[in-house]
Amino acid sequence: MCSQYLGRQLRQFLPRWRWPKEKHLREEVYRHGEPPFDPFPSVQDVIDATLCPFAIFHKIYHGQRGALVGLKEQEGGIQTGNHFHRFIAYLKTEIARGKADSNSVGRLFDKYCHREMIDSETRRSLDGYLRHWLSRKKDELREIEDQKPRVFFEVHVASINVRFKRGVRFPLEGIIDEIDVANRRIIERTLRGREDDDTPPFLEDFQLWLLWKTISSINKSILYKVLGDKNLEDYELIVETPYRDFRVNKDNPKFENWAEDAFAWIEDLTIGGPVVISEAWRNKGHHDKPCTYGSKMEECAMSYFACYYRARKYPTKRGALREVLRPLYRALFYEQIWKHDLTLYQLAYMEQYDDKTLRNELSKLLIGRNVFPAKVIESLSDRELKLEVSKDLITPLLEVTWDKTFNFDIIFGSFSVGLRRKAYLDFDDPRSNIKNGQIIVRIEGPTNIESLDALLIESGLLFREEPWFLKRIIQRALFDLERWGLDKDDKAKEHVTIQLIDTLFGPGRFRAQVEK
Amino acid sequence: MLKAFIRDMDLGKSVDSAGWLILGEEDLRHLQGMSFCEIDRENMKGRINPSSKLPRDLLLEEEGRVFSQYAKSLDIIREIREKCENEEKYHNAIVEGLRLMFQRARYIFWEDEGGVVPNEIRSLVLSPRWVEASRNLANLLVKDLLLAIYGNKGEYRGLNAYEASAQESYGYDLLKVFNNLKSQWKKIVDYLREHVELVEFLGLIWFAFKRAAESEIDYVGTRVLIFEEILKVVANKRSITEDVLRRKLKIMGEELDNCIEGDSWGLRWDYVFTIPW
Repeated sequence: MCSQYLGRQLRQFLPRWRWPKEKHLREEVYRHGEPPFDPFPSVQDVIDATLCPFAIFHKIYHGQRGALVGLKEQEGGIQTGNHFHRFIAYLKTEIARGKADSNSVGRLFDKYCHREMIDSETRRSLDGYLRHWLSRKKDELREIEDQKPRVFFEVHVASINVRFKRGVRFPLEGIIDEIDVANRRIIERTLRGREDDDTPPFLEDFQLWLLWKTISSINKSILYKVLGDKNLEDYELIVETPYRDFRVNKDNPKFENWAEDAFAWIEDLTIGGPVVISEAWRNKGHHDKPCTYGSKMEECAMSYFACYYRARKYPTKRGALREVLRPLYRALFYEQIWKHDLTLYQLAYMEQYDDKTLRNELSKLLIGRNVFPAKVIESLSDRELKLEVSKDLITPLLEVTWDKTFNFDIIFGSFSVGLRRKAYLDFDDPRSNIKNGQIIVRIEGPTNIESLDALLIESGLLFREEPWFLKRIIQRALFDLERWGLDKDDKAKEHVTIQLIDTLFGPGRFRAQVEK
Repeated sequence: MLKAFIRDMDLGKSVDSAGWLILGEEDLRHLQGMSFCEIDRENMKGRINPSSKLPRDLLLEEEGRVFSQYAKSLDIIREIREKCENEEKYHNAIVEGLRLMFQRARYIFWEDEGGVVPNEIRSLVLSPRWVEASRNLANLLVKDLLLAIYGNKGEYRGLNAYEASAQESYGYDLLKVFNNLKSQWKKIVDYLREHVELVEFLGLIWFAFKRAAESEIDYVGTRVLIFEEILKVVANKRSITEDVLRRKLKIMGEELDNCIEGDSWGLRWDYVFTIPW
């Protein structure tokens, strides 16, 4: 009845990406309906589309988070991975600044755990990973003692000029774990992988390659201004697990194909309806790893709860409910593109586009609304600094922070390449002087703020988006409702929500009872 | 064995070749006594028969449920293939499906600058009467489309029954909406008359998905199977390849938009001619 399965096929590559037109960037077009341009994908999106086209479908329409997970991350929690990376950032920075030496790791670890309020279980788990890592890295730590830090952690990169062999231009953004300018290498750090592995953890090498493609496609003058180096093409790419370092081959032809294939899926699923969705289902799994019923791909979180979840017996009218929800998923996705992805395009064009007039127009549009250029004037502690914002931007800044959350992203450097951190602006701190445009800011994550001068970064951007992610939360909630249910007949008969769904979408009757 | 069948169907294998496992003599003998299994002694293979009824305890298992959903969707596909053999039944299914599509459609008006949509439409669309009016508009559109494509042929029982139900008064307001949309609608109908395979696919897929909802079919793989089989049925009927039909469906929304290019207001026709999922 059906044609023979041939395994996951490479998608037909795109002749061109659907870029927003200038009128969209200038916001001269009323935002409605299906956006006439593609989303601005993250490296994580490309990885998920490479992992499985149905995983990226769930991400796009059901607001799911990243699909690629490792077993250890599932067990120990993603937080352990974050702390592992952040502690190493802290450790390396402190040693390079001369505030500690390679023998004071234990003291710094205690301090870090205390500051981050890490529970004993996570601490034990972290300790195990760090022992492996330190046993290999002692010499490296000794080498950086007292040198000025020239290592950047958690660097945000965004480009509108990423090209693969065919030359088609794509947008891409992501976070690089570590750029070591002194040793000319880019590092992707992960807890995934095992002691006896002789290849990098699944897709980590591809992820690092994509990040490298992104940063090396950014205008050299922007790179030099922020990093003090402009030739990143010949940097070494290292995937670092607690147990081993893996050097990544930049000329792997598979990477080129996987990337183009992923972009094609992202665009096709954005535009296409059920025809593309059914094609995504037929191409389930990774190019080298099938994902089938009863033999799921263990690296994909979606396979467990979104593709092959246990369907409940009630509500019985789930199909009719889904039919009603389907246009909502799509509408919520379109809203995200109009809000979030268009803002990313605007910021990237503002810094990277050839036409200076458009760049200036975008600056005028965005400065004072989404971005506020700021200068670091004083580092107060390793978590606090004093920022100066131009006086004429203070009123709009106060206006956008009227809801009192004061929650911004701060980017040291530029949007295209910069250290992106969460920042809390404290206007009420007595050290803030609003009249002069001076604000006390508290930073989350590895900061290095005391050594920003050494990193050539003096200025940055306060960046705030509309809360587009709420749409994803709604998508997730709707999808949860679609999958939710009960199995027991007696419980289902009593359950108001089940009865309500079956009545609304079926021929049944449902009456409220008056309590006597 | 259930898993093997589901896995093979998910991978797009034919129902005849799905789920077979190579077994030993003892297993085959064991299966022989089970009414819901079939064996291929020559090749020492066995599987669960997709046409048989599973025992109750197996149906309570997750695999059992998915398997029975596959079995139900195969029934729906069989029903549609049978209808395909009979012109009248085939067209009746299309009519029923299209009617459902028009009823479920979202009638969304657009304008390229404020105030271009005629006032009588604006006031109707913004009033509570629009819920009822849009239902009637659906009836009006489906009737008009079917007549334009198939003509007023008496042999289509579905059409005639439908016409009878459409005798009710549409109301003065609705006729004004329809008259205003007429020139745009004509372009859409002209396009679809040139691509009858799209109309037939839409009709049949809505019909099949209605059946699937009635049978409480939910698993993604089963919906994909129904979708692909309808694609095959229509492509075969219209003597085109599946790839051509697939391509036409992919660009249908865009083409409908192109039909009314240059108009300053109108309906979002791609929200009317939709494929269920």
